[in-house]
Amino acid sequence: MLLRAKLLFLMLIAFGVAAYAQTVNSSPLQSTYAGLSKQQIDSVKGAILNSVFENPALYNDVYAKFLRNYASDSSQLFTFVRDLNLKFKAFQPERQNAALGFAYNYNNSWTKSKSNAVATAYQSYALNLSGNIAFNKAYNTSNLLESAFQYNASWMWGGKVKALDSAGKSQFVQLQQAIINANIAGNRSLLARLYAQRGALAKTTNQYYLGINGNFSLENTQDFARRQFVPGLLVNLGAKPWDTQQALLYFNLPDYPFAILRLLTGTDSTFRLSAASFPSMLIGIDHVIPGQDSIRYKVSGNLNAYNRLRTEISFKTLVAAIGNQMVFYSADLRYYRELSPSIAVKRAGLDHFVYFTSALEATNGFFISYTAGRLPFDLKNNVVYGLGYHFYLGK
Amino acid sequence: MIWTPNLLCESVFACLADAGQLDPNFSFLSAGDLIMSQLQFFNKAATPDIILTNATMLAEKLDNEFINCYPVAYQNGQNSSTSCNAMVQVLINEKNTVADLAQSIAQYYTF
Repeated sequence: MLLRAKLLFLMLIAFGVAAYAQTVNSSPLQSTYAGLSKQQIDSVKGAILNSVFENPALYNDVYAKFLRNYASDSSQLFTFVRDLNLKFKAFQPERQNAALGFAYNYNNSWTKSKSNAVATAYQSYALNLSGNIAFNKAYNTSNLLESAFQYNASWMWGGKVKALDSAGKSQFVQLQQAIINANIAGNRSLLARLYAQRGALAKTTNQYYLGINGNFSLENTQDFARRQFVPGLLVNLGAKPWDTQQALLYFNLPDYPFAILRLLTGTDSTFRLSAASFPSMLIGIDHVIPGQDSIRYKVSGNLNAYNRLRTEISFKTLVAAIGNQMVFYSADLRYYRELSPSIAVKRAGLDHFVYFTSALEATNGFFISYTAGRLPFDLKNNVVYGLGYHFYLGK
Repeated sequence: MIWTPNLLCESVFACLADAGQLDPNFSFLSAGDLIMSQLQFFNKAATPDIILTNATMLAEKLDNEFINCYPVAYQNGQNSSTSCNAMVQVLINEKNTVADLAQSIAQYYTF
């Protein structure tokens, strides 16, 4: 089965290469530039082919076609391939040419929960694989591959709605029908009134989440030249202030400028902070056991295990809804700091890493992004600006 | 799954809009094609831990609303735990669509 999948993928790529190569023959070039030598024509052909095959969109398109052929195949292999988010992309370090590579991401979890009237307790196991691989490793600007297995115990409080009786449920469904009709008719003012009525009927209490993760992860560069085993304990915090009458909503500080933008663009009819966008936070201690890290060894003279503080804050909110396009702003800040580092490690700047990424993205795929800082294993800080389109090519 | 005006799809849309996952004015008819990373809870730049937390909180809210505000019940053999788990599995994969979420919900609730 695996062999069949590999063969098919290679055939698809080969087919694409062959089909394109047929279109770039010498005769049009020779007739246009009669004075060109064969060597010059070959050089022009090479440059054209390179520009096409260095474009990640071509590979994303071929891969999407491959997946579409197996959309209904329920075998475990193809279920895994479909769940593996593979995206070809161009890496462009500062002042260097772009290079092709891909990003991968696979997340799966198995959860059991128990609820009572107030809280829900969860136990889950999760497998998370993520990273970036450049076909020429020297161009990889985010050279951190993470493979993690987690055990998670978590508790959630609130997020409850008062149960409606059967008459109340009928009224709720009728109200929903009116909402859908107003949405299809594009009646914004009526929609705002109807959602307010819906909110009054289904009033949700504030929701709080506390998770404690036992985390076992392997961090490495794409060539495994640097790798470390990182068992750790993470505390995951989340809150959603669904109840707009309570003060928690007003602590959604990053959302204030976006609430003003939503008001100015007519997305919201009043100044309203978003309950859904309340930032999420992760804080934890990792016990890092370096396995292979020539740079650290060179700096400190050993590869002793050390403890590392790790925090992350994530935020995403609606900026504006224009026509049938939604524009979201997202940001993520990660901070790693070694606890009690040696002076040598400090001097070499290997004791802390800060990584910040933010993006404005519309539902049509248009995005502007900004990334700064470095992840563990990155040798220097990078600042990367991005502007372009994300195409959704299907599963 | 075909995304059409019926109680299931309308309920999924209204609950997601009410939970701030999409703009309430976004066209209901095209909402089925939105992928998870186009919803508010899914920050592509965040680590899987954070995405899983947000997905779990959203699934719990949806489950609570379905059971307490709509004339629906769990399918035979299903309960809050199995239903939320199924929703989380759909929510954490950025390529899944809102229509995929509705399809999963249809297997756990009697809409």
